[in-house]
Amino acid sequence: MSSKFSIALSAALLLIGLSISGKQAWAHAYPAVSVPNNGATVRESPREVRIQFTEAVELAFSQITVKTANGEIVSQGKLRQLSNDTLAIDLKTLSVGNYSVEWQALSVDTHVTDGVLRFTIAATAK
Amino acid sequence: MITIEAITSALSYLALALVLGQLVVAGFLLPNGEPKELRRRSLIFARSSLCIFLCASTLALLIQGAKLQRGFPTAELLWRYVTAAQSGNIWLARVLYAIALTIGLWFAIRQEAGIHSDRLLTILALPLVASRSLTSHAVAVREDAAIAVSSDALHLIVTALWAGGLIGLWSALRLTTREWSQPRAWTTAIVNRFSRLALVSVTLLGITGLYQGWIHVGSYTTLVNTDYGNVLLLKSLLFTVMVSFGALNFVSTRRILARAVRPSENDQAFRTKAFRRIGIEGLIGVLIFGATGLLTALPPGVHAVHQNAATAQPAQGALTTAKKYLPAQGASVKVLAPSNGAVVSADRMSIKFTLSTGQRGHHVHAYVDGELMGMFQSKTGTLNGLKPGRHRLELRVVAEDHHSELDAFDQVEFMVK
Repeated sequence: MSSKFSIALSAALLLIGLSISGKQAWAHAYPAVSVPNNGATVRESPREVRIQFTEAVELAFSQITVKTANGEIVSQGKLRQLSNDTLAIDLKTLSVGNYSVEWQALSVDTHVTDGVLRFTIAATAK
Repeated sequence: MITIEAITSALSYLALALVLGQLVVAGFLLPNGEPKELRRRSLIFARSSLCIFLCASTLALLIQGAKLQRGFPTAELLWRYVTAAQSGNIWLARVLYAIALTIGLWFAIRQEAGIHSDRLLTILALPLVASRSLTSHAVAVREDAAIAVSSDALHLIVTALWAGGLIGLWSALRLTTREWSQPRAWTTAIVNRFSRLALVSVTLLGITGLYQGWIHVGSYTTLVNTDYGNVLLLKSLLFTVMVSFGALNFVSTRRILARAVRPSENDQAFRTKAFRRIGIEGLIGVLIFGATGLLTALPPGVHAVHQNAATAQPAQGALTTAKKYLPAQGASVKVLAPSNGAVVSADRMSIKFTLSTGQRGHHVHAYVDGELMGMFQSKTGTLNGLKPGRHRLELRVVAEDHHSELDAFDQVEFMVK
């Protein structure tokens, strides 16, 4: 009886572990706020892209790269840590178009996350 | 990767629990007049468990490197991680501490140092167990991180004391009944000592567990709808089963064990039954470590909303339209700092506010001249990247999904020199 019970418990835990292992997105620091905001359309070229994460992140192993629709990198300089959960990268002067912000973060609880945010610069109304 | 990470995490914690459990048996549970060889074997078991912990830590470092490098990590990357990252520094400190503790144990075994040395080693093992919380979810919470880390550290210690001590007790009683016959009073004493330890541990475990569950899950919906919540439910179920077995052992097995140490044919059945019960309780403890390993690797349930937002594709190309705000339903916010008309001389500014979340509010979004600049759950924060000139700061209460803004806000004007 006891051995059956033990086997059932072990199997239950193993099954849960295996079922969970088939899913994606395991990491823990996610963008809570980004400037420009994800999906936003702005009129002026921003000086920088800033991301505030849901957790404190480690600068040494985090990255933000801003690219044009053609894949040209338009971010410049070193990544800066404005506070324990906020990173920023400077931008060149951007022209009208769609931009992607590729980010990777190592949170202080050791988990690595990455993703892409997007924003658009629209022509100024005359 | 998640399975390997969870198994490694569970193995690492289990090894530390065994270290602590064996040291507690040697230093605090064994009554006077114990066979010296029994104490020595407990210390050897603890030393072996420390070696397993060091192996698991090495594996954990390789897994961490693989996550960062997206492939097998180079030595350069691993070195940079342990020297430049906060979590890497903690990894290095824990490993060095564990090596020092292993050397200390080696000396204690060799010199047959005695009970005071065992007690000192037990106390020295506590920081090694507790420091696991420095790289856990607790260290990453946005509010009251010190309380969360302290609670997590206490949770880790009492879990290790209970489950590790139980396995240590089982091992000690098994050795005693097999190799050294001890009087009934001796067995009663060791079991009673463990029972007192278990009672305190379980109480603290329940309190800290509820707090941890609250800060990492936060709601019933998250509990039932996220992987983290589901594993936490499983862990709670295992905990309940283990407590039930513990209660059974507390009430009846102690009496059985007291009889079992008498070498008699009639006691064989009782002895088998008692060890089976303690063994099952110990096995459930091992499974709890497995669930804990999974919880370590999974994102906390409270992050589910951000996790979903991170994977969702934003609508492209549409210019921002006028916002519609949901009814406040009791939510309100009041800016305390900066005061209206304040002048700051840097590109960053501290803010303070009071927040009532009402029925659906969760945190505030900070807008400067209509541009979203930050998100704050605490009642203090810092705004960065402010340009010189006169600005208007607006704090607005937002629901947990980050999108549903409420008709609850406060505004002040300030000047950046």
